[in-house]
Amino acid sequence: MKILAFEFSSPQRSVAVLHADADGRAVAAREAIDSAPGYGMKPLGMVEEVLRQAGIEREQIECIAIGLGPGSYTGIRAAIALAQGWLLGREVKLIGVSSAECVAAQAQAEGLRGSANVVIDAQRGEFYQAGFELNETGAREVSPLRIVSADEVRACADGNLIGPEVTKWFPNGRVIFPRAAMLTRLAATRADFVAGEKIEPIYLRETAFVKAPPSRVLPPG
Amino acid sequence: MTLLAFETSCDETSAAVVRDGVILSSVIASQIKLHAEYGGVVPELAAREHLRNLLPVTRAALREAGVTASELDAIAATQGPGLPMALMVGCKAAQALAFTLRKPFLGVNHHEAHLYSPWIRIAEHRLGSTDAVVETGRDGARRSALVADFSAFQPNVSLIVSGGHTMLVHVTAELEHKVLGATIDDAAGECFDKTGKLLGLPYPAGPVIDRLAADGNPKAFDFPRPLLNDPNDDFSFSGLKTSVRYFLRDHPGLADDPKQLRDLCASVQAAIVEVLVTKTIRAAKRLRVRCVTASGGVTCNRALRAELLARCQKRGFTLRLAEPTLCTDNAAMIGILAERKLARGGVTSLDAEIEPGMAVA
Repeated sequence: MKILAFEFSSPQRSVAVLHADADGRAVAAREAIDSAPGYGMKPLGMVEEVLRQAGIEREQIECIAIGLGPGSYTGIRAAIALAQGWLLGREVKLIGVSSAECVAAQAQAEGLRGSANVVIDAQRGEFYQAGFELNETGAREVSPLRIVSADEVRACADGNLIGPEVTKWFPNGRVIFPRAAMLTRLAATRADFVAGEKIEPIYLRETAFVKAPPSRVLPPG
Repeated sequence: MTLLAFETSCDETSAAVVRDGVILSSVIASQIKLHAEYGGVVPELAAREHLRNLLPVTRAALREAGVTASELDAIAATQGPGLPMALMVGCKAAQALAFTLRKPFLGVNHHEAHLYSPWIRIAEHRLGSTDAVVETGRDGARRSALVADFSAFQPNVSLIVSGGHTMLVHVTAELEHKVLGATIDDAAGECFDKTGKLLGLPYPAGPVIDRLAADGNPKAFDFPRPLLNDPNDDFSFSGLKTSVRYFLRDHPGLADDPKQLRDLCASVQAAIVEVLVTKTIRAAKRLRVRCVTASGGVTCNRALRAELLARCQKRGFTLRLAEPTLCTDNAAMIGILAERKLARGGVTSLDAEIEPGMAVA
């Protein structure tokens, strides 16, 4: 399976490709990371680079994995739109992966063990938080994603606080970004593919837009 | 050349297939019902909807055109101006599609596409070089197609007027143009919508005001004609909207009377139309062009079309109005312009960013 991944949910945007054999072993794996400030990005340039390095043609890609956040809607939607455009040109499978799960798996891969709370900025003084247990075999989710206050994050400071910008608010945290290379590895173990028009960012906050008052009854004619 | 175009600058998800100036298909998923509940476009909801609509709309456009992705020679998308998140969905998808197909991509200015849309006409079109062919629909009925025809092009003054923009442009030759003026605050369509909100009309109010005004007296109430006599080509409509607000404050309950409501709609519409038409004709006279064109959503307004026609006939000007189906946001006009630009060597980077504030070049 040749998997391409876009992880644009954090300030560190990355693209990766993985060529795994039938047993799931990596034949080739490459990643490009863009940490430049702002939302400017060159995703297709990054794709071209990782494909070239991995010796894979774009036509050979069989699956695209997308980091669905939570995080930057701009980045996540760019990733989904890129995947949808790709899907129009080539038959590929799409798979969406939680970026929080990706952070936890990345922490596990970097050697972190024990309980870990993934903390991601949710704006408006709130945070997305999910709890994981990290051991030698992987990262297991123990509490699902929810929106919490800063005080609620501090209340669970017994575990490791990890996330892409966590030290901005919690100095004792450990900065770990969701990485596209990890997305490809997670996607290689899954088969919950989704239709392109069904894939969307992880939305946890209820939308609350002001509705217009009822309009008047129009005269006939 | 067979080209697929995307348009997602605001609240319409659209895809179109164009081949050698002929619009083979144009599919639009409108979000008007979704936003009507909120009295205007909610950018966050628009972005979500574009992601849901993009694939089915594009597949429908390809299917209706009888074209597969592998048969495409180029891809285009609106690059700006527009809502950032909305623009991004169409633009990034288009760039990725161009990348996978190894075909060129062109980012198009939405206003420029409107600018040249009056040169797209309903006509019998030619396939190949011999037979005149009229498209046959699925129901077997014979239909004509929308075809770009620049053979009759002449220098013109063009009015682009919609819910988001109002501008006058001097077009000296195909793809050679200069902005003469634009609104300094609200667009004309915005004035229609905000007036409609004050009157308690449903969103979008433009078509409703058009309908109610048809049976009203345009001289019943006197509203200001902002910047009408100023020696420039700019527009301003926020003051007109405010004067409607004060008028309603001073005449409570007036809009509850059906006749008065019709008269009010006709009077406000007359003020907007007079400013738009007078400044357009004046610019055409000053620049000594013999042709006037108009495009954008407000060009669907019947009073505006009628007044432009009357004033152009009086002056002996040729008037070209965009077809009603091309007045609102659509990918077909993006595709037509992209095809002509690509033919002249234009191409855009596959990683070019969207430009929400993109100016007419």
